[in-house]
This record gives sequence, structure tokens and C-alpha cells, in this order.
Amino acid sequence: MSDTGWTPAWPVTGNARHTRVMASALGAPAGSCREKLASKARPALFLDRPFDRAMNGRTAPYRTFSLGIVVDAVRLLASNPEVVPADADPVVAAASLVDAVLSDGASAHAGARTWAVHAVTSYLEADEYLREDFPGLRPVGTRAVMYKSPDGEVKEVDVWGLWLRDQSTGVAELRMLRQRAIGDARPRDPAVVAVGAKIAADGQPYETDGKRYRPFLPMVDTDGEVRRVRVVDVGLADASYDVLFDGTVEEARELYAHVAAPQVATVLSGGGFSPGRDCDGCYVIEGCPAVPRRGGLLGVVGLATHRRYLTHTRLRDYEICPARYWLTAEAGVPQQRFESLGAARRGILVHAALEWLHARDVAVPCAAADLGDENDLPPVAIAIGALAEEWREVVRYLRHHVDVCALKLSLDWLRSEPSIVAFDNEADVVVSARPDLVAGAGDVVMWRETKTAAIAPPDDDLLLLEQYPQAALGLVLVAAGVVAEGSDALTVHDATGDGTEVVPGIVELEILTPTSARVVRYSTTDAATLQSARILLASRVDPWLRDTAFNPEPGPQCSWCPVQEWCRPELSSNAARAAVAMVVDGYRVDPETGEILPVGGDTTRSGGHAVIDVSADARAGVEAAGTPGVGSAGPSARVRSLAESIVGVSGETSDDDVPF
Amino acid sequence: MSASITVHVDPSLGRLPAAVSPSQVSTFEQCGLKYWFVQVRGWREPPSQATAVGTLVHDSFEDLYRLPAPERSVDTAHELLRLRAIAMREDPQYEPLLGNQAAAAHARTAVEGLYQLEDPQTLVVDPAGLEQVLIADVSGVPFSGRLDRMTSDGVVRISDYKTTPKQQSPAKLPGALRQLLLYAAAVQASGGPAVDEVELLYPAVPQRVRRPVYPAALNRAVDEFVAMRESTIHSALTGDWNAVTGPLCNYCPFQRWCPAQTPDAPALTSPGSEEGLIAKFGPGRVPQPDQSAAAEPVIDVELLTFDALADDEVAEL
Repeated sequence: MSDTGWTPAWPVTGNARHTRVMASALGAPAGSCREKLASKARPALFLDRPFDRAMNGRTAPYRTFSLGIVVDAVRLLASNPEVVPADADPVVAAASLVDAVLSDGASAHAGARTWAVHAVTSYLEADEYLREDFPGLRPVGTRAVMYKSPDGEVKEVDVWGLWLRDQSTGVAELRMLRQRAIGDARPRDPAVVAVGAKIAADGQPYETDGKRYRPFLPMVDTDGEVRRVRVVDVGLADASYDVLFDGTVEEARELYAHVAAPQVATVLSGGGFSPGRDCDGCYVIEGCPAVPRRGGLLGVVGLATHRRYLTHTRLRDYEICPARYWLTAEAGVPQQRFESLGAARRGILVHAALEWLHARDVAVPCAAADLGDENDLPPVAIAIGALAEEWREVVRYLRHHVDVCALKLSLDWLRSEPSIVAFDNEADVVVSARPDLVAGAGDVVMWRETKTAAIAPPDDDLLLLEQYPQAALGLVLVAAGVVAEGSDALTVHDATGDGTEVVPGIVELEILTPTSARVVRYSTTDAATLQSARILLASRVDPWLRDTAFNPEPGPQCSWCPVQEWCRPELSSNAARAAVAMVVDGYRVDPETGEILPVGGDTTRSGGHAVIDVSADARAGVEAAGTPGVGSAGPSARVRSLAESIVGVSGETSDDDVPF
Repeated sequence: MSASITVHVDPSLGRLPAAVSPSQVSTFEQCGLKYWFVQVRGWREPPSQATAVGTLVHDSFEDLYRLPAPERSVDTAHELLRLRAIAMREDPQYEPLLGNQAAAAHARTAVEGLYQLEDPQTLVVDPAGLEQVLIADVSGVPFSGRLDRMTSDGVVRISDYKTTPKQQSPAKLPGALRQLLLYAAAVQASGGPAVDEVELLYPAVPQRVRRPVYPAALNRAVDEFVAMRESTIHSALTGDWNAVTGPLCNYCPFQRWCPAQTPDAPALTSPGSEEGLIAKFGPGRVPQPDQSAAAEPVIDVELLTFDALADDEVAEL
């Protein structure tokens, strides 16, 4: 137990009396894992586990934190201005800085480099604006508030950003970076601003050898007295900026005491687990009692280059284009957002409606009366924000759901859209899924995925498992015993099973069409089906796990790609998004909705869209012409991924904040 | 950190094994020159405590699973282990290990651990699936090996016992699993069933590792197998073998004779080197007089089929 009142739920070794609270921890969104924050705020306290030399030293093939490249480049300019050619164009200057940074360490994906150059260019432009009022501002070293007691306790409060100082006027300025334009970014948490102001007022410069677990080494402060404190946000999308705080030293201290200090204590005291998105990058996941460890869960023969976080969305993105995956999931560059259209919007509304209806009571199944009539929008439609026209379309599907609603079964418990997380420690991959519904009756767990489709699904149940790979993943997760009633799987199952015992359970795939509902049921105790699911999952994960290049795979999907601007800048114009109809390995795909269309239907949508053939043969021709491509996915996976790509519904959004 | 250097030897000495086993692939990957010492020249290190325990445990597990299921109690398993240990005493190569209490404890731990990993009294095992010799043509390369166990309970599974007492690092598993995938390929190539799953059993830990056999992993294992054979043929023809130096060199019995580890050692295949190695490891694979006289590589690629597998190599399996 540390002397800050926090007792980690895993074995620890190291120094619990060294704390370092980053400002971003104070701005963590609601629902964040408080235990992760508390753990991260103790950089010298480690999970106690046997040392494994073979696992150490593995690194990501590219830098994963692209914003870091930007800061490194700007700092390089401050310390070594001759890196930039004299009278260089701003973009050339930015490129010189970025390339100098990348030549002195891990490389960056080409798309991440493109973004970094853009971001540095924007920063330098914003810097010019900001200096107009404060021409004496000069970059200075990093600063933090540090305290070391005589008995060895170390407390540090830090913020991530760029520091400037004007010795003649006593202005101390912190610049924090946003990936988006200031107007598009979510507001800064006041506590983050307060920490920045406090450090600007009272912080000391420090050195670090890069070892996170070592306390900062304070340096003599030669930057002069601080008389005015400024905290500024800089938007790297467009060189926009916003002054978040401009006041005296006393005002900065007061703001910190009232707004931030209580939250610093809260961060240090932990407060519960929240398995899910926060498991990405967690240092102690191997010991976390809320995340079951299942070696071999993914079935893949191989080990990740670095710890990776896997979701269905990420794997789908990888199958569409490895570069898209890397840039969105690992590099964290800003993403363009597209409005959900057609099938995507329909799917979102159907899921939202079911989540709302199922949350009422486990004993109340959906009924026709819940869906309203043609004249009135029912409460559920209003609750999910459906327009009347949209609701009429959604009801065509939902009315068939009524016949097969899972709540008609005799269930003991139910969780709607839960976050299911497990750790495959043998592949070093955190697996996260969010099924539409999990429920239990007696000892049996049921997992249900609901899908909408324009046409009736094929009768081949194994083919459906391939078309809807979330069901295959669900079957593997249920069989591994990581799905349970409580907030984590440990309420009923072992935390450290080797993943080879099969837990009885059911996965249901509910497919709604305008004319029918079909529920396909898969059992974990059916050895052949479970084996098929495992092979499907391993076959999908294998190329993703082994890839170290993450090359782009150009095609029609680029038009809807959220990182097209950084990968293929020529596609960033809206004109390039003109709808095209596609034939993919013999399947006809509506490019605007992502649906696989009925045979013999109208491939070209109204307006006479061109038809693009992205069959394997056509792709081979493209690749032979020298276009880089991985081509790892089979035809069916390609159809599925392309369709989903165009639908473009991502459960994940990039956060433009610094990921501390 | 590992590094590698190319060592030239007289290609007329020694000969490539007629067939490739999965463990040969691992040896070659670890160090090409060690492969030359062990597989081309036939110099085998004497049994260590670890290899002796491995043999003892494998043999006693085979005995156990040849019994009817209800008779496979843990007491019976310990008795079978004891009987195998008694038999081992008669083998002079194990003499230095007699009375080694640590080895005995290790073997007993493995027996206990097996019962934590599975229930031998319910596991359905066809005796034909035990210690099965596999000789097959895998993508044009002769394969030979001995499979610890193959079972079928709705899932066709091949299993391999590993008697190391240490929890396996995830970084080591892909190599161990590749060996099993090669067995899966060989089972199918020899007309056997399609293998659904491979399994590593570490009873002394105890730890169990299972993976489905999926096409990408299977194809990769076979591709690496073929590539390894091609590399060994090239090395055998040229006499150039890649010596990989690293932490494992400290456990290599050939360290004293390895130019990468002992730069002042006599050149390999020189009389000085040969005498020392033969004195330590025996004659090994002795070249045929007419072949050595011709100073030509004794590799005949055309003969490298499983038909050419020598009787002694089959016996070694």
C-alpha cells in the first residue's frame, strides 16, 4: 500500500512514494479506468512479475505517438535552428525539422510523417501570430512542479506542451497542442488549464534521461522571474489558437488550488476498474483483476511486435487497408469524419433502439406496440433521435425483431452493449468487443449480435460466421469464459485460465431484413463450429499481427478513408467522394450504403454512377502496376471489409488530446 | 544480441541427413554451424540432465497412454516412471546422471503436472497415435519425425510434451508451435487426417498451449521448412555455414571448436580440429573413403528423398 491511500489490486514492486500526475489525467473523460490513472501516476511502481528477457526490447515498427514528433520538431528548432535551411518555405522548414527528428530515432509511417509536417507548419504559423503580441517569447526547457521530502517522498505534477519565456516582461507561456482546429476540438478541462498555469507560475526546469521511472532532475532556473502567466491552446489543423488563461502568478496559484489540487488527490486515490478502451496502453494489464488473461485466445501463432489493442473495428480497418489501420489506431493522426448514410444510419438507429428497449427490464421483451404506428413516433424513436422518415425505415426491420427478441427467453441477467475485454498474453494483444447483448440463464452465457441486411442471408451458417466475424469472435470469447454477468468476467471464471477449457455458451446472430428475421445459433460445445470460429479468427488476426510495414492498399475505399488526407492528399477533396458502384469479387456493393446488393438489382444508383471493379483480378492488375498492397484478406473478407469501410461506422474516434 | 559469421569447412566431410525433422529446423535457425556439427558430422552431445528427464518422461507417458484409460492413475504413472528409470540405469550413456535427485524430482513433477493439465483416465487415446514415426514428402522435402501423440475427440489434435520446468516465454512459443505445424503438414502429406489443432504440453510447469491449425500458419511453417532445406543444401555444397553467436553459445558443446567463439581454435575440418572433436564426441558421421578422396561434396540432391532415409536414421527417430 502506498502512503497516498491507494492499494493496487496486483502485486507490486518499486517505489510507491514517487508520484507524477500528468495534467491529462485530470481531464480524463468520465468512465475512465481510475485504477489505471492511479497506477500511471506512480511511475516507479511496477507490476511484480518474473522478468522475461525475450519479451523485453520489442518495439513498434513506427512511432506510435505522432504528436510527439511535432513537439520534438519544434523543440529541435529551438535548440538547433540551423536544421532549417535559410529562407526556407514554411512547409520545407517543417519537413526538414520532422525528418531531422525521425532520422534520430524510430521512424514514422509515411502518413504520420505527412501529418507531422502539416502540424509543424501550422504550429510555426501560429507561433508567428502569437509572437506579434509577445515578441520576446523564447522557447525554454520543460518544466514541472516538483517536491521532494527529506525522507524521500517525490511528488511531481507535469503537463505536456511547449514552454516559452520572455525574460524582459516576465511572461511565462505554456502552449498545449490540439490535433484539430480549436473550434472543432472539445473544450479543455479547466483542471488541465489550472495545472498548466500553476507550472508556468511555480514550476522548475528539469532534465530527464528518458527513464520514466526516475524522478525529474531539477535544474537551476535561469529564466527569470515570472510576472504573467499564459496558457494557450494551438490547433494544429489550421494554426488556430486560443488563450485559455492569462493572469498573474497569484491567480494561477489560486486556480490550481481550487480547480486542480483536489483532482490530483482523486487521481492518486484510484477508484475502480473500467475495462475497455483504457486497457490500450495500460502497463499493468497482465495483473489486472478486471481483465481475464487467456493465452492463445486469438489462436494465432505469433507474437505482436509490441502490445496491441484489438477490436473488430480495428481489424476491419486493417483488412480494408493496413495503412488506414496504422494511422487511425496506432499513429493517432487526426481523422476526417463522414456522415453516416443509408445502411450505416439504419444500423445505428436499430442498435440504439434495441439498446433502449432492452434496458427497460430483463423480463420485458420487445413488442409491436413499442414501435408505434404510422402517425406517432413512439418514445423509443424520440429517445434515439430518429426522424420520422428514418423511423419508418427502421421499423421495417424492428417489427421482425419482435418475433425473435432475446428477452422472450427466460433470462437471469442481461447486459446491453457491454464492454468485454480479455488479454491474450501469448500474442500480447488486448482484445476488446462490444456485443449488442449478453445474457445468462443458469450457467449458460448467451451473446447476441443483431445485424440488418437488405437481402435475406444465405442458409450456410458457417458462411454467415465468416460474413459476420463479430459472431466468430464472440464464440471464442464465450468459450474462453470471459463473458459474465458482472463488470468483469472474474465474478464467475478464473482470471488466469490457459484458454483451453471450453465454457458452455451460445452465440446468436440475429439478422433482420425488411421481410424476415433469422436467428442463427452457435454453441461453444459444438467442437466443429468452435474450431471454425477459431480458424476464422486466427486467419484474420495473423496478417495483422505480423505486419510491420502497414502499406496502403489503394482502392475505392480511399474515398471514404478518414486519414486519406495524410495518406493520399489528392483524395482529400469532396469531389473525390463522388459515389461509385462497385463489384467486389463478384459481389455487387452499394458504395454509398455499403450493402451487398441483390443479384440482378440496379448496381448503378440513381444519377448513373460509374462501376468500379475491385475483384481479385483487377486488384492483381493494380498491384502488378506497382501499387503497394498487402492483399492479405480473402475474397469474402474483402467484400465484408469494403462494405463496412464504405458504411464507415467506427466505434472509435480519435482523441486529439495528449494520451497521458 | 546475436551476430553471425560465415565459417568455411571442407564440404567433402559429412553429409546432410536424408530427411529433415522439425527439431533440425530449430537447430539450423539457432546456428547453421551447430547444425553442421550435429546433423552433418553427426556429433551428438551426451545426454544432459534435461534431455535425460525428457526421455524418461516421454517414455513413461507413452507407457501410461498405452494402458486402458481406467488404469492410468497417478500412482500407476509414478510406477511407470520408476520402471523406466530402472531401465535407464542399464544404459551406459546415462551413467553420469545416476543418483541425480534433482533430475528425479523434475521427472516426478512432470508426472504430477500432467494430471493438472488433463485427465489421463478419461482421455481417449488410440495406441496407434502414440510415438508415431512419420515419414513424408512435405512440399518436395523428405520429412522424418516422431509424433508424441495424436488424438481425436471431435478435434484431431497432435500434442508434444516439453519437459522444461520453466514457464515458457510467449516469445518462444511460435518456434515450438512451428514444429507441431510441420507434424500437422506431415500427417496430411502421409495420407493421415487433417489436423485441427496443435498442442504443447509442459507438464513440469504445468502449462498447456493450443492453437488451431489455420492455413497461413501451416503454409508459413512449410515454407520455412523448405527454405531451411534449401539453405542447408547450399551450405553443404559450398562448405559455408553461418555461425550465429549469442547467449545460447554458452550452452553449446561445440564452443571450444567454434571459430566464432574461439578464434584461435584450429580450423574446422583441419586435422587438429577433427582429432579434438572425435576424441570428445566420437567418430560421428564418417565420410566414405571414396567420397572424401574425391574432395567433392557428398551431397547428391537427387538422392535427398525419403526413400534414401538410412536405416540408422529411421532407428534414431
